[in-house]
Amino acid sequence: MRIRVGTRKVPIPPLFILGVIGLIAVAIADTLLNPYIVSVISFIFLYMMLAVSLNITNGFTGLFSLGHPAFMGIGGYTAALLVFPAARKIHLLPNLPQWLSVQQWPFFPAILIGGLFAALVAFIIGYPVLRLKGHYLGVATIGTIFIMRVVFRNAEQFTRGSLGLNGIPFKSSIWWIYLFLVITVYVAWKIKFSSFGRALFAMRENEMAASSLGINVTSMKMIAFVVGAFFAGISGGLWAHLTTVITPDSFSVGLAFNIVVMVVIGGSGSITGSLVAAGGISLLIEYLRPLEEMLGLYGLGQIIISIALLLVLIFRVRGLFGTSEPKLLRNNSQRDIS
Amino acid sequence: MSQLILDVAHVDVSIGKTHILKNISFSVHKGEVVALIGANGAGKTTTLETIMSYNKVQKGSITYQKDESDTKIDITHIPTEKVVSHGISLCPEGRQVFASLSVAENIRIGSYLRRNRSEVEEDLEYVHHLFPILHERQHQKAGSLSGGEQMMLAVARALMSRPTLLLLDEPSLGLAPLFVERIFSMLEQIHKDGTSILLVEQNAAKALDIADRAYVLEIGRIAMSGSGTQLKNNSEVQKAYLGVV
Amino acid sequence: MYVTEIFINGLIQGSLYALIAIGFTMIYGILRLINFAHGDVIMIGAFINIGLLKMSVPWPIAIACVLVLGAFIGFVIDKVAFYPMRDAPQVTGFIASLALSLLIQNLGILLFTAQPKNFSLPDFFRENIIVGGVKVTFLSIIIIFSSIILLALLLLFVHKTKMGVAMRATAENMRVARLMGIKVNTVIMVAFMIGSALAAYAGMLWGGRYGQVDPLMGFLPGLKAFVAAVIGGVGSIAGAAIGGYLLGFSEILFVGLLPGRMSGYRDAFVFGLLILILLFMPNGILGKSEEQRA
Repeated sequence: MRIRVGTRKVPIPPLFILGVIGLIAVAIADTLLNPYIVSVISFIFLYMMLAVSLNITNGFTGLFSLGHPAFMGIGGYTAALLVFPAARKIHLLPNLPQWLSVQQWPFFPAILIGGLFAALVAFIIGYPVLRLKGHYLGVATIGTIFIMRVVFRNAEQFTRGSLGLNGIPFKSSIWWIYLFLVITVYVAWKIKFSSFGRALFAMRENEMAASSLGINVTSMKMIAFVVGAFFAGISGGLWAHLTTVITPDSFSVGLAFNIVVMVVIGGSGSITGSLVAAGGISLLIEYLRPLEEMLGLYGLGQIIISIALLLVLIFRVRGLFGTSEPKLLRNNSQRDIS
Repeated sequence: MSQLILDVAHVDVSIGKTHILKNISFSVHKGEVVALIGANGAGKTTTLETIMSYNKVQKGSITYQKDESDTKIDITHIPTEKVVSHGISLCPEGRQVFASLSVAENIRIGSYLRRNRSEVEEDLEYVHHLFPILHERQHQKAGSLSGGEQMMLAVARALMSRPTLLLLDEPSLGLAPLFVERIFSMLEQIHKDGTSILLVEQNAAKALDIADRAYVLEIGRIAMSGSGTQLKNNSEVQKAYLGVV
Repeated sequence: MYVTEIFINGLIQGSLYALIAIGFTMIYGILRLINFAHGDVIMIGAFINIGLLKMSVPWPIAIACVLVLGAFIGFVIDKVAFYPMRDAPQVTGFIASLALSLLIQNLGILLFTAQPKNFSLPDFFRENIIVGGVKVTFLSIIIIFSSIILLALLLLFVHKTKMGVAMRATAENMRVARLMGIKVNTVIMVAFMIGSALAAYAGMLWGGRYGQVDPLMGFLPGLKAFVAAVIGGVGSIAGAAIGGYLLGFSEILFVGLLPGRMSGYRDAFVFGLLILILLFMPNGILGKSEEQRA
């Protein structure tokens, strides 16, 4: 499709059209559907964000990070602490340092700071941890989930320990979440179809060959890791303000696993794949949740997801879309990476 | 010509998308030393590995007959363990001894499939007689041996299954010339003692010296065949593989 | 007296970690894969034990049952999850074993709910003797000595029996092991069975010691046992045992010597240790260096 801009006809990026359609859908949902369903959709969007951001770290770059929940936790606690009204902070966390308890930030910047703080932590632990390869990196990132959990549990001054923080103001409207989802997808898309992205994929293919081409493997890995962590932190902040509760156990290995499943089933390296798979799987999770409670069949959803992953790994490792994006969504200039 | 023990007939092997062996046919008779020579990448190692069932054969067949009185067995598609149990043993490229096991353990593991303890003891004697240095070093970790000693260990290990046919993949590779001499004279001894040998070598001169018959492998095809002496005197072979200008 | 108590507790915890770490290292040594489901076999062993207790099975028979059932579980795990992944790249196997682990955990939740169940062993396990001024229960004595015996038996197996040497050969070079006529799939199966039997037994002891079981109880101990295996050098059975004892002692010392406030950081300490070891001493104490970790 092209529109007239001045005297030239300019092609409209298909993604933009998709984004607008999404926006309209959100508007309809918000006005017509009941709040419960709207929050389910919000969760689905959050999972999509998580899957796409993990795809940047794992799919594009070939790293194997299970660390997203740790960064979600950082982002979540940070944002919650900033957004809490000062009065509530003093009541809930009496030992909080003065300078922190008087803060009261608006939502958007607080979420961003959460993301930035998560990115900072990723930067610090990235230096040692990213030197590990393959499944050792995986285990190390699982380790960071446990380490962060312990930190949250013990830094009672800031986090109220095992009790966690509740009564977090519900600020994650579907509009905010959709906005951040769009930003995440946009950034991921831009990265993928840039020379930076091509370098990442080259690294994923063959690290040694890539570095002999002059690609600075270490800093690339670090950037991908930090960017992924940034968006994970943001998701954590959004999550906390959607569920209104955050505890040290909110973001676990199980969550990390489910996000990995979404990336793998969608196709490791495909943004569209992550969106589709995340949509489907989170829909399943949310649909089964009340059902599980009703029937007393707890854990059923997780069992189904685990089996689905095993089947995909045995029969179709490339997942739904492999590493590519459907032609329909790509500009003429965006050649496929395969 | 004595009894045919190994018959490779019109074999095609592809690994992934690469078609490596094209319509390969050759044979080994009882008591022979047969050499397969050719340049790097011609497919020599692939050939041996295919006999041992490491690769799938797309076309053709490989049959084996241990003795005149035994039946001919089709070994084209059977698992590696079965190939070994029928009496074919491979001494792999680069020796590949089990470095963390002792010399004695390496030798013993060669007899993994055998049931008759007294025969195994006989063969242990034989191997220690052939390679006295291994007996000396029997409790050392195999990884601490020199290249030449590891080669001897690899051959000893391969002999412990009492093979009727011994396959060797590039025995001279990476060895000092003195050791190459030693190894080849031991192969002569093993041959005299009754084992048939199929030998793959880049060192064409040495191989043709001890071979009764030989084949030349070029880019996955058998380009030439004949007796060892015939090929040695062939001018093309001389130019391509024997360094004669 | 305090020192004796720490020493004995360290020995007990170390024995448990050693039993579990050995299974990890056996599988890793051969397949180069981390088996997450191994931790959950601990949980299965603990639950089986409760079932046997309910049926008033005498304890020597119960131990035998747990070992046999544990071996069977190992067999199933191999056939269902690892056999199909034989030729897959490392990371795929990793995700698959994580999937299997979550599958087992959630089956547990489905059947037993996530609520921890308390139980107590027959009184006679709590009878104790006094050693160096410290009360040592009969259970603790069983834990310490049976672990040593099992470890010794395993080392004997791996060095003196044909299958044991075949296992070591396969762990070193799978391709060449096949050339010896070794059936590699059988070796792998045996490794799974032995490792899982030990893990199930450890679960039985763990449940008995802490008096509580729940479907998620195995994951963290399993991971920590993996840390122990790394400390000792993955692929080495003696190393796994040493790593297990070292980790057990370190944990007890960490909690025992540091001020009370810090004991919550025990798990963080273990994982911090893991990262340090992976970075600076990737071959552990006894391990063989074959691949790149960093």
